[in-house]
Amino acid sequence: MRVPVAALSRVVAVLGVTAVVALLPWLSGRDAAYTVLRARYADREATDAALAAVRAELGLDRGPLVIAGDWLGGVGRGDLGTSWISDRPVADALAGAVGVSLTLTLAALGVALVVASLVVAPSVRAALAGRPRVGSGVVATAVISLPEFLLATLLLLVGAVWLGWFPPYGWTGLVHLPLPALALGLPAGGLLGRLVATAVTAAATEPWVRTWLLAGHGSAATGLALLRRALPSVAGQVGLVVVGLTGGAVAVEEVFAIPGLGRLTLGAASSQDLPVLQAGLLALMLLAAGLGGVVALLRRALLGGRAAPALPPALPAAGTRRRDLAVAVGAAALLALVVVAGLLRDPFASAHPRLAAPSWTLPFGADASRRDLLARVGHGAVSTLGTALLVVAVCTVVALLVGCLPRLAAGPVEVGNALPPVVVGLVLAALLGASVPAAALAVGLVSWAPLAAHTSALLEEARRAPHVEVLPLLGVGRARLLLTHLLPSVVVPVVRHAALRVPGVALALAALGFLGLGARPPSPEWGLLLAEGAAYVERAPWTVLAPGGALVLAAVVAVTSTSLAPRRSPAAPRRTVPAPAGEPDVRV
Amino acid sequence: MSVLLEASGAAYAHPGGAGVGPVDLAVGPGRALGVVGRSGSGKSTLVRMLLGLTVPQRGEVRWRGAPVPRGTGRAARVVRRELTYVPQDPAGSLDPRRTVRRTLTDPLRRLGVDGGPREHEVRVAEALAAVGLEPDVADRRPPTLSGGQAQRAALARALVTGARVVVADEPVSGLDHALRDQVLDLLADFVASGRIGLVWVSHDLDATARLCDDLLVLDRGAVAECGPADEVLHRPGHPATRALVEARLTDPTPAR
Repeated sequence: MRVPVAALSRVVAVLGVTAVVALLPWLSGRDAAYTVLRARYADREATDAALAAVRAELGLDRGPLVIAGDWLGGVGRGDLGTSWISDRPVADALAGAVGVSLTLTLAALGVALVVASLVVAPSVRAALAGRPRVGSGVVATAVISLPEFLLATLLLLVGAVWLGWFPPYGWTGLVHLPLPALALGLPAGGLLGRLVATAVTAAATEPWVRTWLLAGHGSAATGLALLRRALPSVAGQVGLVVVGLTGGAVAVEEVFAIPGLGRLTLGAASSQDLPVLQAGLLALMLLAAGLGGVVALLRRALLGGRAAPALPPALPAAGTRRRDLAVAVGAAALLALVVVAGLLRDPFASAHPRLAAPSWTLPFGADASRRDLLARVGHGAVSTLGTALLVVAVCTVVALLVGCLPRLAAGPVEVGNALPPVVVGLVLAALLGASVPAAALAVGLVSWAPLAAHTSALLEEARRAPHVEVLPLLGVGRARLLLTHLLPSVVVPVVRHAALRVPGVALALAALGFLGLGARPPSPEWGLLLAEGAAYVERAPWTVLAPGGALVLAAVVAVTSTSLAPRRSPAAPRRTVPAPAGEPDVRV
Repeated sequence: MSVLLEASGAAYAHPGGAGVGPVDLAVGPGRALGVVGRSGSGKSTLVRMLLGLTVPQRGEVRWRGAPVPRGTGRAARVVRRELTYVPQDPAGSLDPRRTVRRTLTDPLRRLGVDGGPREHEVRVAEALAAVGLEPDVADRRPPTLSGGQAQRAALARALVTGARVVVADEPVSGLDHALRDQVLDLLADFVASGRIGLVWVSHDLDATARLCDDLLVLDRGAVAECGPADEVLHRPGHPATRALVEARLTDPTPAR
């Protein structure tokens, strides 16, 4: 009998994630006891005896199996334990937070649907007019593809500070809903819209569309049929985007001070309140699973349980390609200019008036600690992008190795694809303490998955090439086949795909820095700069605009470069598996 | 004819139910056996069994009296020098990134054919000449070759290791008429001179009738008819054979 390796791998992956959550108190070791000691008994000294007492009190000295078993058993009975910090039952805090987060997520889904429809509509109209073409303008796409933490900060600045239409913080009535819902829904809607628009355009090249239109089926009927044809093939990616809302919600709730699940969990991670963190993670994952389940049900309803028929390859966006290139190069050049100018200045010296406004000598102004913001943005680029490069390089190597074992890796790849980096960042920050390596590890732990999936898809295709199928008969063994015939044809497209993900990874790192899960002050990390500026957004908006502008440029580069994505390599003319274009990895 | 490749009662059934056999056949240098049948009649499974890529569930496929080995072990390498394969779409079976020389030298090295680089070089030159290719083709890559040149290069690869029996799986199905005839003539010469034996698998009865001495007709996995080509074609005794013959007579467009 054939061993169902892929199914087993999925089960192991899910069990592994559950085990990590259940074992958090044990994994965090001595560090957690120290934190609790500080929080509860600030006057006691952190002697070994005191720490041991805390450990005994928290039940940390009982060994991993008991700790995990107790927690899982408690979850089964609906008992989520007691907060280490406040000493109150976790379930009480959680219930209110879940309600808030559900409201926010539903509102964001509404926004996302509207935005997605607006993005898809032109593609459907073009398809019905017989001129299928890929989606809307690249600049508009880039703007709605900003990461949530950045969009939230900018919306706060414009909608609450400058226009004064909405309250900046809190959660007491409907008036608090629009800004966070926009911040969460716009990026998701933009991404969904692009996915569906690309699929619709590909479906529109199928001959039946022309036949239907010639036969006099109305535009409405044909348009609906096009959507029905296109949607199932992107349902998997749609599911990932919707699941990603849970990660984005953490940032949005933090910016607008909304007492939801994300903020609760984030607070628990920063203060190492592990019972709350465990419960928060569990609820986040259940929410993600629920959202994913709804998408899966919709897909089933559309398809009736069959596999989605493959779409024809997407059309190259011939008309917009030149403009895409111009925007990408322009944004990259502007970013490079800022970075070079900033690198020549000192990012740590407190040498300027506090919160000085931008001027000729101080182009971006100064921050609350009297430091030069241009210098900090420039130096921040090096640390953020440098870390991103390192993360992507390691991920590429891992992906190439793992991609060779597609069935064994199926589970980890799916879990890695579905987990938002913020959620992984929460866990690692609680375990290792917030630091750049922890943030890099968190982003790395999820970033290898799409690359590995791409690798195994390319390998699968390369294996089926006639000139590879014949090799066993010519005496080429399995190892040689993989090393000298398959991998060389796979490495180049995977590395190109990885390079396109660098800006996205940089944004994910910045998001973790922004949330206090990554770089620590005073290091000039972009996300951290944005978070530092956010406190002074009313008095000195440039403290937000300087790092925010740099991040917007990075997002524009991320989106435009991925839409430029798969060029055919002249050495491998048969290649048809493209990098998953149009999915900049800026969800956090 | 000395028989080298021999199947006796060889049968394989796929889990889905499709399959082939039991099949009996025997081929040696100087003889050409045609295997015909419609799509799905089990031709490809039979080819895989003959080449040792699929082990028969019943019966046996033997090379020089011993079962055809699988994999790339020593025994398999020795057999694969003499029992070679020309796949469907032979031109596509050439690695586009490798020169023709490299494509032809690799099997010599991998299959451990006697001699060093210099002897191998001589063999490559001989194989190219045997299929009528100019020596300068050796340093070109498949994308720069014409369709006919690529077909010949794939044939040269099948011959270079000292083939005694070549299994060819619909190797001319993608060719235009003129090219197809060139390849058929080339193969017919090799068989007639006693240099190789040929197992010719096709759904193209025209080509098969020109080339083959014996004919084996497959129908839904079973052997419908087997015998000298003339007899089978002129006095078809099985509905499947009649259908194939009639399709040839009434179809005004030549087989592709």
